[in-house]
Amino acid sequence: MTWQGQILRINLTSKAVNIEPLNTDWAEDYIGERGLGSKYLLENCDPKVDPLSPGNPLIFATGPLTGTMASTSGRYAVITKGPLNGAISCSNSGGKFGAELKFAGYDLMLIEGCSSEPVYLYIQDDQIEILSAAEIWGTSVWETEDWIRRNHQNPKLRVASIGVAGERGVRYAAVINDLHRAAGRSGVGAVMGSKNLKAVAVRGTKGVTVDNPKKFMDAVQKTKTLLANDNGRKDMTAHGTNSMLTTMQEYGSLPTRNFQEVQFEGYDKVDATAMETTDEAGHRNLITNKACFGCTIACGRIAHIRQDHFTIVNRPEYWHASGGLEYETAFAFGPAVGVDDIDALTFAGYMMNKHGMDPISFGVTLAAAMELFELGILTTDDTDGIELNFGNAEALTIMAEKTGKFEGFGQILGLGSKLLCERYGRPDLSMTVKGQEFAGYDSRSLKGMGLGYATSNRGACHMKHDVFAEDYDDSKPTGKAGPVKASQDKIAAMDSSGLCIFVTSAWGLEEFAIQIDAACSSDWTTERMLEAGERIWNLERLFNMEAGFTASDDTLPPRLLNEPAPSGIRKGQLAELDKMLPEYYSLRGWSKNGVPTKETLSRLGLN
Amino acid sequence: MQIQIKLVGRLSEYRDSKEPLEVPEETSVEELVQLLGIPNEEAGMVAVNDDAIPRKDRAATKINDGDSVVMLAPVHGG
Repeated sequence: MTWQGQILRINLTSKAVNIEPLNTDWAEDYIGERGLGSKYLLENCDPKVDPLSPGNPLIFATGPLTGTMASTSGRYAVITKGPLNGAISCSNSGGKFGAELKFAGYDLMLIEGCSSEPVYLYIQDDQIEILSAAEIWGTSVWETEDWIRRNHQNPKLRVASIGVAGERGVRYAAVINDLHRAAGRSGVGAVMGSKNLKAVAVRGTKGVTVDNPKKFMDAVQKTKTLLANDNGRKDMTAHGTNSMLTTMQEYGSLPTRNFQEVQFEGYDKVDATAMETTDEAGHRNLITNKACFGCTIACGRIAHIRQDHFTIVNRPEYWHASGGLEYETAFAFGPAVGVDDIDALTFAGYMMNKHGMDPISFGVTLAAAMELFELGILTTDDTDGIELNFGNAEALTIMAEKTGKFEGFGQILGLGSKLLCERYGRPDLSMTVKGQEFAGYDSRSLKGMGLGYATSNRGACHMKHDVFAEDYDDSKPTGKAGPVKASQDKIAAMDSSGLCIFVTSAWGLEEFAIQIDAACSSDWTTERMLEAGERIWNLERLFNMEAGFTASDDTLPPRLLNEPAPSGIRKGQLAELDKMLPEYYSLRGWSKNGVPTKETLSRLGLN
Repeated sequence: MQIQIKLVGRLSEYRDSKEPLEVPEETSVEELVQLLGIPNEEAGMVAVNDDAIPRKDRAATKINDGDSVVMLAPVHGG
């Protein structure tokens, strides 16, 4: 079967390394990756634990299809209690690290405790070592990856690491693998830093087998063909996720200047077309696209910055190609902060990858700081002398670097939007749910999105539900609760597979199920996956309830509830969450207070 | 009659022009999508004069001379 059948448990306090059998009962109930990792978290952690204390485990989990021939099979997830907001965090990533971990023989890695000195993990199949990271502590992700490969004289090592942001506890620090793929959200990198763990380096040579190779390859062939012929996939390959920006602009769902507006006048200077256009000096931002392990989409962008741009003049270390803008980075460094300088956006993106941070949380936090500055609540005395006005490209790039290096006002920005706005007496300006920043979609024009944001277990997140079609089709709040709930369950199952959610323009849950069914020894159907997805969603909810979250946290900022969308196709509309939430709770089998009933828990085997 | 039409993102492959489009009188939104050769599932959202028309109403909604139409392709994630 597709599982290696063992997990790695490493205690950084005692330096104990143990290989344990995979709990296959849990894999049967929670599929893998997000679901399985969440189950391991709940069984190994008090939800009330301080996220940055040794008692908070850091889990790297693969899915049943990670490392297989299935398209997009490079995914792994990092699961922990997130320090950005204290909720359960599951942040997944692509690249090649996840498949390599599986090839080394481990379905999941659970890291406990805290090392007394900086260390990194070196894993080469059965050889597992905890080594000193003294020489790389304080360096960037890029320097760390390079150093580890050189140190071991092995260019095939796959590395997941943190930058200074993670070491110093930036609340939205990311774990970065393969230079610019990120387990980006909720601060999983800060948890890694709190354990004095700089990196995990893996090389695996064991491969992955499947239960029924013939059946599996038939399913893979069918699903790859579907993906190859899909228009959404073709768009993603040609233009990347940033093709979304023009669409959101036209629709009026492009959060601008800290969500004060929903359309950005400079959108066409930072969108996918701008990336692909050669300027008067012969420079083209986009160089090429790039795929993760096993991926037949290749949405990743590789870009470069004009050498005469103010961000990199006399800084040849940045005169190279690197990870380019995706939709969320373009949104967070563009419209959210009112900047339309594509090279400045690209440089800010470099800073996120180099120092290990979540671009969404950084950009939306900076947007809040800019609004505070324009209101006169923050002054240049607070901001290291930087004029923090909306539209200031230099402020964006300076603050991205300062936050990454944990310097000056960057330390304050590293708190995240919620704590920043509370610190300066304006919590209403924080564009967050449960303390996590919004992605680039406005809940007033996309009402189902708003309900999804409000009820997302890790705080505001656009990747835990999918109701674009319903939102496009009807502006009313009625009828949105059902699709939100159904898509949350569906995506919880998909996120647990080891595949990428970007296949969903072509695939439904059935395409996931037939591949998992062929790869695993037990029988998997669409219905069984959907039930597992619902079980995962409720498990995450139970963790959060134990951590102290209540129904009062299932809400949206007052701006989205009370200030009408100022323009766009849904001009004048509000988020109208109150008209969706009661029906959502009812459909979930939860009480009016958002608590899963005994019947619901019993039905899902969560007693 | 003439209408203004804007096809956003990948839909621009079906008509990449900013010139007004000549369409027959009484053309419905559904007929306009067909006229442009756009597969029905690809017309994720159609707005007439900034008013999004639900799929169920597209056949019955007529377009008038001088109307402004915007069409967006379906989107996922990002």
